[in-house]
Formats: sequence, C-alpha cells, structure tokens
Amino acid sequence: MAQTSLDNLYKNSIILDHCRFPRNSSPISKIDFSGNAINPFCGDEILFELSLNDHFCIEEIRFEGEGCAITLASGSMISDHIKGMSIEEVSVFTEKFRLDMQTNSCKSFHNESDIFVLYDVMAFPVRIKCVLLACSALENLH
Amino acid sequence: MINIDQIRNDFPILSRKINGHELVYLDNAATTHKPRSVINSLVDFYENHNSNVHRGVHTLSMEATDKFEEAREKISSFINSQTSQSIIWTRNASESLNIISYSWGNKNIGEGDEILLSPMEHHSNLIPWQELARMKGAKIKFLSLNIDGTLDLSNIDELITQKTKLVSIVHVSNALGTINPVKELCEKAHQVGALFVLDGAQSVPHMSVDVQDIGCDFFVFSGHKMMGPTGIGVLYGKMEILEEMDPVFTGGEMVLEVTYEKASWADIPMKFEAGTPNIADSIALGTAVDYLQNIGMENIHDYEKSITSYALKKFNTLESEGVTLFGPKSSDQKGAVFSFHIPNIHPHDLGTILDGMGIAVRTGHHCAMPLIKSLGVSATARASFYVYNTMKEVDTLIDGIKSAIRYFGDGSN
Repeated sequence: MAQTSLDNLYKNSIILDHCRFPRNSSPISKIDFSGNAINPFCGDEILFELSLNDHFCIEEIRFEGEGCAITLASGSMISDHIKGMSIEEVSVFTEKFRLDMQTNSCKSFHNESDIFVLYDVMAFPVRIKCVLLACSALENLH
Repeated sequence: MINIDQIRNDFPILSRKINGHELVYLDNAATTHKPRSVINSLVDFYENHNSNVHRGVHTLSMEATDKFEEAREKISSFINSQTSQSIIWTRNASESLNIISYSWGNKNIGEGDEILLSPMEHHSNLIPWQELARMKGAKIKFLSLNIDGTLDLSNIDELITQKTKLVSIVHVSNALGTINPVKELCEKAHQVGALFVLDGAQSVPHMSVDVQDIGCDFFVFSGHKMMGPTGIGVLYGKMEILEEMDPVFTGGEMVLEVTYEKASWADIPMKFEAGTPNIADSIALGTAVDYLQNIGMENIHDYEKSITSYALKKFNTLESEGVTLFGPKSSDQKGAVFSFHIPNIHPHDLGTILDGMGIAVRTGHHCAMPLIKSLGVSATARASFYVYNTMKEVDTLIDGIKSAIRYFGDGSN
C-alpha cells in the first residue's frame, strides 16, 4: 500500500517539482497583506505576501517557506492557485480545502491547478498538517 | 553473550508488519517496546490484585501494597540507591525535574544565584530551570560544546563558581547520543557546594547506573524508555535533601495528620506522592527492571556498544553522499543514538519514505530545539537503537537512507 502511495507522493510527481522550484518566490513591488504560520511540532514555516489590484484581487504574490517537501510544495501550489482571487475568495478556498483534507469527504479542487496532487497526502494522515500550514498562513493574512 | 533472537521473541510488537515490511523500530530514544512479561504484569495486576494501596486491611489491598512497594525496592537496588525511601514515583522524568525545580528550587534559589546546564539538555531539563530563574531572578549558564558534540570542560572552573547553586546535566543526550562525564561534573558541583541533578532518561535503560558512585543529589528517569509502561517515572533524591523539601502536590496519601486548619506531612517518599499513585504501572516497571537485570545491564551496554561501532562505520560510508552525522564518532563517548541530516531531503520526508519500508525513525527537533538550531539545521532524523535491535537492522536503515537519496536525487528508486 504505502509504496504505491509513496510513489504518488514523491516519485516523478509535481510535488517534488514544486519543492525544488517553488513558484512565486521573487520579491513583489508592494505588500498589501501578509500572513505566516509556524508548525511548533516540527518548526516548518510559511509566509505569504501579496498585493491587490484596483479590483481588490491578488495581483502579485510571494511565497517563502522552510520545511519538508509537502509543506513547500503545498505553499508553492497554493500561491499559484489563489492568484487573481479576492481576500474573501481566499478565505472561502482555505476553508473548503481544509475541510476536504481533514474530512476526506470531497476533492473540491481536482481539476483547477496542481493542488489536486496534495489530496494524495491524505494517505499519510500525519502529514496533512504539512499541507495545511499554507492554509494557516493565509488564514493569518493581515 | 546475549541471544538477540530470544530477546526479540519476548517482544510481541516486533513481529508486526509495517507497510508490508518487517518492522525495524529505531525510535527507542522516544519510547521502547515492552516485553511480554511487562504486558502480562499489567494484566495480572488488574485481573488478580487490583486494589488501592496503603489504606486497606483486606487481602487485595495488602497484595497491591506489597507489590507496589516491592517495585520501589527493585528500582532502588537497580540504581543502587541507599534506601528505597529515596525513590519517589512520578509520571516521567519531566515531572521529576519539575518537582526538584518547584520544591527544592523555590526554597533554595535566590536572586543572582546561578544554575549551570549543558547546551544539549532536553526541554525537560531546560524549561523548569528557565521558569525558576525567571521567578527568582537567578541566572542560567551553559557549558560549551566541542565540535564533536562532547562537552567542553576547559572553562568549567570559570562556569562553576560560588554563585552556582545547581548543576543539572543529561547523562546521555537524546539528540546526539553523547555520554557525559557526569562523575567529574558532580565532583565539580560539590566542590562549590552546588547540588548535582542528573537526567538519566537515556542512560538508565542502556547501562548500569550507580547513583552512589556518581554521587548525584537527584537522579530522574522515565519508565517507558526502559521497557516499562508510559505514565510512570522516578525521582531519586538523597534523603537529607528530600527531608528539607516541601511537597509540590498535596492531598490524600501524603499526610500524617489533618485538621480543618492544617496538615502535617507523611514520611518520605509518600510526602511527595499525593493521591492514588500509578500502582499498576509502578509494578510493571519493576517487572521491566527484572527483565533488564535478567539480561544484565553490562551485557546490554556491551551489545549496544557493538551496534554503535557498526553503525558509525556504516554512516561513514554515507559521508560521500553528503550525509552529516551529529555527535561523537566513538562508541566510548556515544550511546546508540544517530542524529543525521541529508542535504535537500527534509527529515520529515525521509521519515515518511523510511516508514514506507517499515523503518521507524524520529524526525524533528527531539525536544532539544536550541541544540538542533545550533547544529545549523531546523530538524534532524534520528535512529536510536535498543538491545532488541540487530546489526541487520543497521544495514536496512543505511540501505533505506541510500534509497531515499536516490528517490529525491533523480526520481528513480
């Protein structure tokens, strides 16, 4: 079981690509909102900085992370996923995605961006918190 | 020589399959597995002797009390305490250290006093002293660390002064495996009239410990790291010091006489054991001590030393792959604890990959955050061995690490 799931999780996967080459890691021109989160059990940390356009939607985003492949890939993927959203939409997204990951009831985002691969992490319950650290950082936006 | 196959047969969990593989359990510094005799001891107590202790004249109560006090005797002789009265049951080493800090510390540490620690302390032997120092205006000082993870004692006479009231040191580091020169440190502490506290959580399961020979004033450890149940630990203290200490917890069991206005305390050790104690687990810890003594602590130490030597050699072959092993590189200075770091593979990812192969290692900061930070990493992977582990399991670990490096290196397996 685990080897197959492990293959899904790491091997030749989009996760490793995001971990090695995180998206949206360059500095942005202005910072309207920022939010970070730390996992006290392992020390993993994620920071998002973002700027809004005239329509109050995310124009630029920067993601910075320190941690395991899952934490980093999740931060990178989610930074791509929320580009163009309003702050309210980000909040709807984090709530829905968190519920998906924690209840294993539905995969709301299976077609839209790379984040669908994060659902594979549900086979490793102890690592779900690594995926959700990015959500916690976004929930702390101020 | 010890018969490892026979020992392994005593541990039911070792025959479990994890993710389709034989379990290779290398997280013994976190907790150890329990032999059948310890598990049976718990069942036997609840099935045949269950009763409260020290407070009944009926048969079951007397049986429970006898077994409970017999376990205390076993612990006492295991660490060569002067008397079993010096053995106080606690939940774990952390609670034992907190009792010293709250009781002895509160009474004896004042403004400007100094507490000396090592930089490799588990949070349990750091935070209670931080809290005490904060409340009392005392100061915490730290010994230095050599690059190989041993303590640098070259400036010890500058660090232990007349201001030093307490020296509290880990016997064997849970993060680096370093075996510290505790007898020498104890002597230094006593030369200036300071007390010496020894955290034996990682030593007493693996080697023979004689508290009188070391001379320590307090010795603390946890039952679950030495084949005993969780939730039971020990605080050993010298009688003359315990006599002067006030109880931290009050209530039932720990009193001599009570009126509506006041109470007087029972004798040691009961003065420190308020409420119904953890009877079944204390008794089962006594059974764990029987089991360890049956193998022989010298035999256990010798065997683990050979595992350490073998694993050190094996880790050496991983150096070319960029693997950094922290801590001493000699089995004379190191217990069978291997903390390591692989570039570009976060320990949690390594832990998940190894788990897929049935190998259980710990990943993270090992409750020694400042130490791990000082190594220049945010976390390490740690493989820690016990007497039921085999040389073959060292090979399995090393192969697992190599496979993880390939996994993350080029995506092939």
